Amino acid sequence: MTRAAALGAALVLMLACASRPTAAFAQTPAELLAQGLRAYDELDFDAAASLIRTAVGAGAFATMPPQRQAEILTYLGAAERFRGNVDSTFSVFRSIVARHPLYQIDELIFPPEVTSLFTVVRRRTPAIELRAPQQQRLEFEPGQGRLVAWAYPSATHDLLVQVMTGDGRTVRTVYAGPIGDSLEIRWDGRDSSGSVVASGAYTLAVQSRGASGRVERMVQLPVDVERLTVDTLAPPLPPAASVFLPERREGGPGFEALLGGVLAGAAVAVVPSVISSDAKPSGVRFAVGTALSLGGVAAFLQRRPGALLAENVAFNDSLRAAWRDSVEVVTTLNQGLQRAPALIMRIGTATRVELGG
Amino acid sequence: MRGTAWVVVAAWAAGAVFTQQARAQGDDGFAMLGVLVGSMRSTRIDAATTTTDVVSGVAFGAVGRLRIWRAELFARYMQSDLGGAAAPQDLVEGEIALGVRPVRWLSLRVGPRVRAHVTENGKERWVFWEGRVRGDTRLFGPSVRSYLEGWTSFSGTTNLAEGLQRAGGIEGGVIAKLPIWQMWVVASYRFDRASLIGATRVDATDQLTLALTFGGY
Repeated sequence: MTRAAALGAALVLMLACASRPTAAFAQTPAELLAQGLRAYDELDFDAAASLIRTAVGAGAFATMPPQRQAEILTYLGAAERFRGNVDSTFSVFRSIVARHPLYQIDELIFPPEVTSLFTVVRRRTPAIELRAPQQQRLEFEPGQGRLVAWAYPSATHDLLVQVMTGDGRTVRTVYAGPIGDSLEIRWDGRDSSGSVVASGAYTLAVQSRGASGRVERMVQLPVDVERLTVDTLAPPLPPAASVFLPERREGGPGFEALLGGVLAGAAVAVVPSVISSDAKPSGVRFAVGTALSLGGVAAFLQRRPGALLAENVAFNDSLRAAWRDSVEVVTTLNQGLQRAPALIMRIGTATRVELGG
Repeated sequence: MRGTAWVVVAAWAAGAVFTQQARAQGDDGFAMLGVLVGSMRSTRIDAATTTTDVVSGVAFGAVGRLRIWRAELFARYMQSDLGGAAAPQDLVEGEIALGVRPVRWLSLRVGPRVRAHVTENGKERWVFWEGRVRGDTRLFGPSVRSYLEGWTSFSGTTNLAEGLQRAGGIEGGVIAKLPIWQMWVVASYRFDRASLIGATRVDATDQLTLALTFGGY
């Protein structure tokens, strides 16, 4: 490179620097922003637009509160408006509405030509502010509770609210239709077939549609669903065999009575004659012996083996019925628990996705 | 008969005392006491004169038992005033026995039995040392039972010229618990035979007895 060329290049660089506001060099975004707003107040819209745009491009702008961001961008849009750059104004205002759908421009600060333009942009820019119990843990039984989120629009437009899985599959369409002032969005944890969804990561996607029906932007609310394991009751054990009474008479007592009665009767009738053939025993022994034998037979018949014991049968039936009742109660309770398992929903932070121009 | 009346009265009085204890102990209480009434027939065969005398009458008596765990002490007394074709006599008999009950339905007893025949001609006394076996079984639940008892003598003495050769007998009956207090009623038949050496004399008694007891039988 020749010396003349080097000098020329240095001159061009100096001229280029001189054409930019001197304050742009070596200043913080806050200082730039302060100078830009001061330039706007001094009606130096070119400097104001340049300084504010530079400050907005800095990383510190993203850390500002949303309301402050919207105010700064409004200054930028107004400066562009007064510079005659209507398209830039539209663009800046659209970004304001997209990010802060509920933002209201301060009519005491900005003149009507700015506020009216912002109103027009706002009407043409469908967007919503979605408010949900963020980072909260909701626990409820489906049918007896639900996730509730509130949508506030920038302007009246059509909404499509869907619950989607992580891979983009639609689980359930929660709402499809216009939104006016606000909309309460509810989801009870069921899919479109009415079944309780499985545990997993879901997204509550709120799509804002433009006048043409095209989806222009979407707000996504992550919802982590945990389906609680239901602790069902163990079915009651059947009564132990030892608690049941015998339903049929056993043979022992009946045979014992028969044997005892007949043996005693026979002995009373016969033995005296055997041991005393000379002194004749009284004949009353036959009556006594016969009575004893008949008593044994009658006792056997009354306690005959295998006879049904009605009282014991009734007692055992009551035991079985009580057990069946308890099984039925537990089964019903378990069915209820399994039909409506409790859900825990953990709500994440909503994110915005720009889909249209 | 006056003595019998005293025995009956004493038995009833003692029974009332034992009733509460027996009730507390259940059916197998430690004490049993009761009174007996029935008919008695005595048959005597004298080989020397080849005569057979039969007398009969009403008998009264008492019965009692103490039972501690499996051991028991049993006593029985009967007195009767007999008459008929032969000369009248009073027949008095008492026995006492110690026993064990190895199982619920079986009792084994050993003890003396004394019998006296009192006539106008004097008093005959027989003493038997006997072993007894008794078993009972339930007929209708625990409240109605039948029982059978048999006995035989090991030895014995008499105040007669001849000694005792052998004695033995059998008793069977029905025991029923009454639905009041701890009272039991017993209907039984009893036959006993005793003979002197050489069978010069044979004495046999038939008893049909009704007993009312406290605390079982």
